[in-house]
Amino acid sequence: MFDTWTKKSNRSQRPSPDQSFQIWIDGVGGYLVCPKKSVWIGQAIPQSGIDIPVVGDLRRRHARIELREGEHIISPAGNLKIDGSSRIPGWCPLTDGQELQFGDRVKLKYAQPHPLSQTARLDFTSGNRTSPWSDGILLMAQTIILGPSKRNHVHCAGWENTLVIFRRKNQWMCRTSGEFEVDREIHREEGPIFLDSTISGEDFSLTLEPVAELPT
Amino acid sequence: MEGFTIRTRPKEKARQMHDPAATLKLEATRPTHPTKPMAQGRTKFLYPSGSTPLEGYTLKRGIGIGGFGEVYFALSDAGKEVALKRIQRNLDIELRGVRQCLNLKHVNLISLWDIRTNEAGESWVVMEYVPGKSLREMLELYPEGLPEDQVKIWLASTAAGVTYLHDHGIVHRDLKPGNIFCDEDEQVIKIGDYGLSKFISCSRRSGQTESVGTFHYMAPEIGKGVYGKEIDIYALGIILFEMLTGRVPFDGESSQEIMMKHLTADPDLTGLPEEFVAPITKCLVKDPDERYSNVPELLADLPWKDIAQNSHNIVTRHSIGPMGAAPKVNLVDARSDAREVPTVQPMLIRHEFNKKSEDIVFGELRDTSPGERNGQTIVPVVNEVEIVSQSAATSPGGPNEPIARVLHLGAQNVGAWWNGNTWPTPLKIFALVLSGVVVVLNAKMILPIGLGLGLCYLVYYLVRSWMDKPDHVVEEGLRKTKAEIKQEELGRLRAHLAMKDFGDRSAELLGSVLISTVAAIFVCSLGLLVGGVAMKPSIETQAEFVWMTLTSCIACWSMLSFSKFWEHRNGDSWLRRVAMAGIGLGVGVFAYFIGSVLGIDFGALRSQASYIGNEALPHFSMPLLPAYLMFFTVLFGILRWWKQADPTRGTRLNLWAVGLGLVWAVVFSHLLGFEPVRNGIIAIAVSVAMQIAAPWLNPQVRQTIHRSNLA
Repeated sequence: MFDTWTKKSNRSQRPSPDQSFQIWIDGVGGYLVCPKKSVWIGQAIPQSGIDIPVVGDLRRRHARIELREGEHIISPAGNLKIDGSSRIPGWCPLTDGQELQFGDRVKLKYAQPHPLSQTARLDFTSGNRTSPWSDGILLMAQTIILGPSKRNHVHCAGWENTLVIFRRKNQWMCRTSGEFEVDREIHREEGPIFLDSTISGEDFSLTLEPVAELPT
Repeated sequence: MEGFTIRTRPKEKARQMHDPAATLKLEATRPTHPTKPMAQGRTKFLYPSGSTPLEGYTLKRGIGIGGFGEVYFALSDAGKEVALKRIQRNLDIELRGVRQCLNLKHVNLISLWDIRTNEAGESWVVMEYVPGKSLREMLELYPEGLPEDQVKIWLASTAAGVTYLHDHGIVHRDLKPGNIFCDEDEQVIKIGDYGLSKFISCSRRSGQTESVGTFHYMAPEIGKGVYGKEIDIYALGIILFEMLTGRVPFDGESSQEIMMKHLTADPDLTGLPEEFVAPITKCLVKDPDERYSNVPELLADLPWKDIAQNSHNIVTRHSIGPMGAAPKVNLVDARSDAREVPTVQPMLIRHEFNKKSEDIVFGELRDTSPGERNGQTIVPVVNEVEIVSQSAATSPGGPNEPIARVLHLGAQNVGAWWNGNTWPTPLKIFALVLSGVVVVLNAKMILPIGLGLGLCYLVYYLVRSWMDKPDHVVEEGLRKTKAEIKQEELGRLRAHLAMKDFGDRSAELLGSVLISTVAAIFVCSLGLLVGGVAMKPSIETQAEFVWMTLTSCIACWSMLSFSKFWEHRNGDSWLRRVAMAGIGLGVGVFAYFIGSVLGIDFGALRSQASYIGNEALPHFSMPLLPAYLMFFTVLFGILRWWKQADPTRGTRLNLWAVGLGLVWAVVFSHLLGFEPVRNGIIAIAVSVAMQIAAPWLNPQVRQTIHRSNLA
């Protein structure tokens, strides 16, 4: 039953800092985090190597979103509409609040909720979903901010403090006020985390999980 | 979870004890906002992500905590997403309620799939995972109350679920906004926690799971242990009030104060729209016997006349039609209402015994075909436009005039037979050319008869029109609606065609040109053979064949080119005729000069005009070149040739279009003093080759486009 506490076995081999992972936040939701500078969005097909696999009617590789000089740039490979307009040149910078439509049906809202972070969030507005399930997609730039404010990347109602996940060199780190636990080890203010860590504090608990390839 | 905290013992100790239930201690807290029920509080779950406390399922995250226990989002080993509810206490009486509900099926109820017990003796309810906001979260988005159209949908869906529960002898007992969810996948509203409500209510009374939030919806008689379905009516009244105003009618700083108000105070209904005052007042009467005795009674008193008296027939937008067909209104975010989402193709199932009552359907509905299923009549739900269009379709199709209608139907039947038979294409072309030649050879007889009949019909039609004015506006409406629907479909196809880029078009055009060349050669050879022109092979005959083929090819290529780049627009018919006439002019010049190069004796051909023996008919004499120019210019300008290359045309090879081209070619040949066989063959070759070569959206492709638009 508690085998989760013994699962952190082999960490000598660090995962790539670009590997996508899922954050499961108790009482809030599950979010797909894409730390790569360039991600592909496309249909959820096993072994397609898509960063954002969508269960929907779109191309296997439908569009690429790149973080370039602080801006997310989208380059469509299939039909794309931005705020209803299909006149998209080869690439197009994205701005907060835009609605992206891939193919005929799949719609996502692009948001950059935090004014000081380039990390963006994509939320489905069309009833589609990723595979595996997630409540939202975070296109990570430098940091992910979770907390009680609606301007955080993930709005965690009921939390008192914000929690920041970031990278320092090739190490994932977590920062929040006061003490918190990472895999049963107590840290204060800041501590290293791994892509399978469970982080918990006075009023929160979340677990990271590396994203596996879609099952065949 | 609503406004309470769970404190756990240190995890290490809990793990050693292997008694997770014992580690929980529930404790009431005050909400952060004393006048509003809390949506979410601090959450601390016993099991972290990745745990497998129940064989076959891996927990991913905690969703919420209630008096009954914790709810987790989990994946089965096969990847099925479920919600797992861990029952904190495991008394038989507590699980009995869940078991009673295991086999309930209603679109507005969260499905309960199983009850499982793990090695540690914990009971888990395996149930449907509903991604989406609860009504509580929606109320936070709209602190002044939800828009009325959304109130109606939330209430009607909740009422449908509650009615179903009542009909199955179950009282929910814990109806509250935190227990009503909008499934964002299916766009359906679902009620949760119904199987556990007795447990919740008991534990609430015992004081273990107190929260201010849950007291806002509790009927006064619950304190006396009375659990009739009137307590659900009471809760529905409060929920309706809160949806309309954004606040609850009985509020206070503590649970005791709120309960006291439930017992003694009159509800504060200020700010409530007048038409809702009476029904909500009746819901909130202290004496349960004086409340509505069932949900349909409540609905009948609401000002929404489209919610009928019988909530058995309430069908939410979601309980109908194929899943995945999205409704028009996004329940979660009304601000995005303007977005255009394809419509639903719904189907209502109405029981035979209940035919007289009206079904209530929310959302925009479209046509489906009627039918029978398991003794139930499947009633198509159609909107007004399509009712009209169906009537139009079932009324005598096409023209209203009887003779024209018979001809129209006859033509449709012949067309259907022609398109539906299994003849190979070469045979069809042969039959076509043979018919054309027969017509040409018998033109002396056919033309006067045809002209005479046409004239008679014209006179008859004018007289009939004068005597029989259009009597209903509805008829106009029918035609208009049908035309509009056809236009809509055409618009969809054009939009599909517009998605091609220049490269795609050019590639298609190249293919069409090659196919049309082969087809033109074939038709011209066949025409010459059948027409008897090539019975005596000679140099002259070969030259004529080359001339006809080249002329047909040039005409085909030109018209295919223009049509290809017109295919994604409807365009102006007259401008296109002018362009076609221009092509005709060019073809005329080409035909004349290429004929001169090939040494064709046009003068001799012209003198053979007596071939059809119609010297008696009037014709014009003019020099050869102008006559040729005029022939092709008028022939190409008078007919809408581009339609024969339009991918949206009705059939790939339209016999009537070919025939019409032939008739005009024969008529103009005669008028200009040409012998008609060669010109007729050219007209047939152009028409046939163009239709065979031009792309055509067959019905399967059209259906796919239609479906993709709907999706």
